[in-house]
Amino acid sequence: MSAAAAATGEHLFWIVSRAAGIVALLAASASVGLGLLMGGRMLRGRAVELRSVHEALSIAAMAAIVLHAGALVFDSYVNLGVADVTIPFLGDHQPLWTSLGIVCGWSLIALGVSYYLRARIGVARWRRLHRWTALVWVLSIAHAIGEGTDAGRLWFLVSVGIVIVPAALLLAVRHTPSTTPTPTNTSR
Amino acid sequence: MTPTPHPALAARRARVRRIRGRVATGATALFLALFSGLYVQMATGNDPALGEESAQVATTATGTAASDAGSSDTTSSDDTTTDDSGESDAAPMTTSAS
Repeated sequence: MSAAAAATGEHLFWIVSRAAGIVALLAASASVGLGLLMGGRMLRGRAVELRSVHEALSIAAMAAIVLHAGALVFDSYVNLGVADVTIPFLGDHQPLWTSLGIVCGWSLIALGVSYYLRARIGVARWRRLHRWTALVWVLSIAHAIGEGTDAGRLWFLVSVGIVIVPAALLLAVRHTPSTTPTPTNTSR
Repeated sequence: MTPTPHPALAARRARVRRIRGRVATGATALFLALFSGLYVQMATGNDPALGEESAQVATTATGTAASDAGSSDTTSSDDTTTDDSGESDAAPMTTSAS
């Protein structure tokens, strides 16, 4: 068992990266789902608490993304440099999926940080910008399914599906045009 | 001297801090659980990318150690079970790591 541990020990950073990637996906999915619930006025009351959970989940996702990419730099078998995990279309390792992941990572971090700059950006403009998070989230799911080592595993699909499916349904509801006519407010 | 915040504001800040702490704890616990699971999966040779290679590395390492011990005894040649086909170069390279 100690030899097995030694063999596995050589892949510690790779395991860290995989675990962090899954945490990032789960946290981002939960954050997107909660954001859609709040935006769709499906959750009422306790706005401060809900926004805090949404924000904390986003920060957790961003931290996990940094760990996900950073750990790969130290992994001796995948052999990726800092540039390979930060600049799209530079590395040779599954260029399409890796580049998609890099673009999604930077985009999610930029969109997350923009929350703290919304006064400078302008709230209306920031809201329009913030909606792009959903698209980036969908693309990050594609990255995880397309390149994720554990993507074919049942435990992965179930655990990720529990968070992704409700958020995806909320997103679909949000972007489905309403068929019921909007009531015209004639009383005022 | 800093003015003391309104009690309602202080309570709200405390709630927000508590929420952040819980989310951070939850995310860390999730990470550790996943890390442990993936570690065990790899150590037992069930890794989806490395397959049984990680376990083979361990087996070969043990086998090599055993054969090294056995090689000092020149009379016992029947107990060496490992051929050297997959020995030290069994570095589990992966093509689908992410």
